Amino acid sequence: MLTRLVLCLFLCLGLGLGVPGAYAQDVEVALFEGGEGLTYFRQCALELGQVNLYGDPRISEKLRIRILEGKPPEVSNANLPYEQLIAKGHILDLQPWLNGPNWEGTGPWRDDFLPGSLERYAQNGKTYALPVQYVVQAVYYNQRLFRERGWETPHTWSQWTRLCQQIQDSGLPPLAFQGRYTYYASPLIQHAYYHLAGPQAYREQLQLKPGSFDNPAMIEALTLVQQLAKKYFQPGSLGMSHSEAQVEFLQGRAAMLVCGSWFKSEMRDKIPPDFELGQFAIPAPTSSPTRAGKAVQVGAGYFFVFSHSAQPARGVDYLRFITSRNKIRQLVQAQDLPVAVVGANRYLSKDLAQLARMLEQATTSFGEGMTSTDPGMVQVWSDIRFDLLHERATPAQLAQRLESAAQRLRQQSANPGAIAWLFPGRAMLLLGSLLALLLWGARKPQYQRGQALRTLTQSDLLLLAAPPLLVYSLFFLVPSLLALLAAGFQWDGLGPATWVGFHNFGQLLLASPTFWQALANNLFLMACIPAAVTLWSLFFAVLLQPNQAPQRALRALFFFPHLMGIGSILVWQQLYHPQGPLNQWLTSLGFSGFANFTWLSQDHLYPSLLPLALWSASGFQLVLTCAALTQVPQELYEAAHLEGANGWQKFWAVSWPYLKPTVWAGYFLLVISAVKSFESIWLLTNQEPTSQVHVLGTLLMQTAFAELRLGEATAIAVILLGLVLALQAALGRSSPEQM
Amino acid sequence: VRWLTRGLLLGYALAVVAPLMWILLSSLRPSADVVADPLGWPQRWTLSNFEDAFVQARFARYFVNSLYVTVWSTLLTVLLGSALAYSTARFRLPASGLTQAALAIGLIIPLQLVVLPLFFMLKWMGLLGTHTGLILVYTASGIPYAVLLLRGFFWRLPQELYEAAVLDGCSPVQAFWKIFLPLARPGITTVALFTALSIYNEYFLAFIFLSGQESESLRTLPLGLADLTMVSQYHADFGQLYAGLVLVMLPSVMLYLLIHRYLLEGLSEGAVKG
Repeated sequence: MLTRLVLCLFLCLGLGLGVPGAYAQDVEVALFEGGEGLTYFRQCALELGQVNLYGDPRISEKLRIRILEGKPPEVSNANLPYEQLIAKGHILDLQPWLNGPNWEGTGPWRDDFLPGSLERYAQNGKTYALPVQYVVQAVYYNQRLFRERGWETPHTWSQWTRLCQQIQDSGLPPLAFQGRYTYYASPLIQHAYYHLAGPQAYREQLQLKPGSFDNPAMIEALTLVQQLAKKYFQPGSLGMSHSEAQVEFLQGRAAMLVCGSWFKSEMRDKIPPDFELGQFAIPAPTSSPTRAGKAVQVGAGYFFVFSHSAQPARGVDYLRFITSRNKIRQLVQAQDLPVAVVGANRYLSKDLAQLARMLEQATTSFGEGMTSTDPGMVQVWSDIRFDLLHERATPAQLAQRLESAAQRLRQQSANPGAIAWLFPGRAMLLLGSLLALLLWGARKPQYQRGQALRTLTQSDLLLLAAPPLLVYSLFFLVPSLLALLAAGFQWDGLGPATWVGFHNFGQLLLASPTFWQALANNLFLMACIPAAVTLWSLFFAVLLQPNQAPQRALRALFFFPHLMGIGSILVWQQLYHPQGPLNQWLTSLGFSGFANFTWLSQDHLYPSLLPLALWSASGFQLVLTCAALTQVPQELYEAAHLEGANGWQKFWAVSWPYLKPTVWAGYFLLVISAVKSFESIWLLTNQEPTSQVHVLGTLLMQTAFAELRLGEATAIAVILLGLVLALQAALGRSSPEQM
Repeated sequence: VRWLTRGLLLGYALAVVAPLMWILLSSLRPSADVVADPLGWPQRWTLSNFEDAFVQARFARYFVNSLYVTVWSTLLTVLLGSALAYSTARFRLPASGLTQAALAIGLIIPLQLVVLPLFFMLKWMGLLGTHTGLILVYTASGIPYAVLLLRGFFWRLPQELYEAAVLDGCSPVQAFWKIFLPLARPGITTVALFTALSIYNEYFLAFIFLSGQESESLRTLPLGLADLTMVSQYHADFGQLYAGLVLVMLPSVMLYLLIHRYLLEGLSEGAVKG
């Protein structure tokens, strides 16, 4: 009977295997889907036929996993570690096709692209990426408003700040800003530096030349941007996402906005019918007014073909088709989006007329999007921009930090095997305390033994104990053991692995500031959340003491959020929205400081986790504590009452001894889950935590899938295991009555 | 004191209910209304958010997937878990110390440690991006908890029952299937419910093992929800997300309303008897 059932189970499970492989012969095109949608690319896919095109805003996460899976799509434009992929030969060289004819056959394909736009991913005579969308950074302004108020578009930075002051004085915030994503400050900084330091110095900075960050021009550029942000950004804008800030601008609640040229196509549906969109070049911070607008800051949206995909050549065909001169007109016209194809941008609508003129008049172009940058600087820059906008450091300090980060990267690339001994003290302390806890807590395990245990016959053993042990070992124990081994390798998941011994641990413990920041965040969670949740649930368990119907109903209610999983995180993400219900409610109570308060910004994220934890995790503790309270003999309370004990004394003398084991065990479970925490940070930061807010769990994901350093990621997991084991040992030691 | 107690409890109850009610009400309003006045009482009602969630966000598909994965993983976890719990509680296994140590460590090992090697193991077995792979991983990670909770149940059942079964000609397997499994039903139900609810809401493993394109149509509800938060952000339109959240929570709420007594009693009993 049992055998039959188990067989049945596995047969049914087998059905789940039938699904994959449905699109075996179609060319796969996996695209990032922003606000502008994928209509054009879909339409092209339909016309060309046999193309399976799909996309969503989180496509890059999924593709990272698929690349490790060894099954890349043919074509993608998602945000992936391309430098690494190119180095490992995973990206197709498009050179042969670029030298060949274009789709219409009117000339070489490469001649169809705007000058310079093919250079970004060109190395040693090979070209690995194809530009499609063309990005120009500009200031968008409310043209009608400017006309009505008699404001004039500025050419220099000082004219711009004067204009901002004027707008401010009229009662309108001058600049909307997409502050949740600090990336949007990048064009301002780069623009200022390009004009202050000149093209040569600008290029040197991208190449991380010594002295190209800590210099007066850079400090000046950072100062200008910080001042602009401090005085003229719309209040609350640092907590706004890009769509929110852009809607503020379009609704006339701010006069200007800095954005790339995708702005119009991204916001198409949100532009009010009578809105007059205008653009001017980001003003240059130098006295000579002629320089602004002559140099435009550009970039492009690049498409890549994966060389290990099933049919790379057909992927290239799709790209030739979508960039053909006749076809791409449709994209320009339908989306009002500049593209990197020669001659197509004259089809832009009159809304972007000023932008098109800027492009025409430009004598030169510059930008990160055109030159290769060190991937190591990406995270550094993101942190620097955050601190700049939030005024957590002076421009001089930031320039210095950039310089030393660049220096570190230079040293690293010169000598990749070396480990910088940055944190020897902390590393010793961590290892020492883990070891001490393990030694202190370790004892010989004692297992329950039955009185009259029989021995199972072999066939019964095979039926009863073998299947569960097999599944458990194969899918849990074996991978754990493999992980211990894998932590000693350096491996990117693509090529062969090399044995490096303890190098990964050394790299993390001695040289990685991000690791220590993540560990500190874990420690914060371990210290605060379990204590708060335990006290909270203990308090309410005492209030819920008589075990009657209303109390039981409340207990059931309080318990429910525990069952919601990531649902509770997503609900709170909505509550915490800057213009969301929580802030509305708090302001209506008179706490006006909470208007537009950014609960989930880097600075407030961790304290904001506390209400979420109380809400979602207390119920479980509470139910256990209540159960323990019912165990207290009623006579003891009566005796204490006769002795004249007050409520507090009764609690300590009578209830607490009964509660202690349960509360203590619950507390430790919470501490251990704080060590393992991942989902709350991952989801509340929209899957891209900055280096300041990582916990070990999210750092592991980032290291493994975004940076393709699998050995180091596993080493993080092993350190996690060490932490949990040490805590478990300490728990066993400190409460012998449990377990 | 009495009134203070009541006030505090009422406040806590409101704090638990209010966010859920807000999501429910917001899912029934046009998104523009929610943006304009997040806390207002709905002036216009609409079901279009739910329509979007079903049609655009493919929630019907995700729901079927979640159900499939949850049901099979729970069944397997409970069945395999109770078989192992029964055999460790009632019999002397070869290398029983090792078995118990292996199970005890399974309660501690963080999933993050397992996930990367498992990724490549599943890839090698051809199980990556399949429901089968995910179900097996859920089962494996659920077994130690199931054994921990169920061993006590099998242990407490009187030995005479077993002797009687053997006299009637039952083999140990038959005794398990016909006598012990039915008798352990209260414990098994509690374990099954907790397993089911935690798998229904599981995000991390599903995210890693079901992210390939071929798995697009295999995704589970938590993945669909997480995707929706990003899509909603790009469109500055959260109606679909609210509807999605309501749809995901609805089955748990209904199940919970039906069995909360049972669930909490099982939990309390387990806590007290340790």
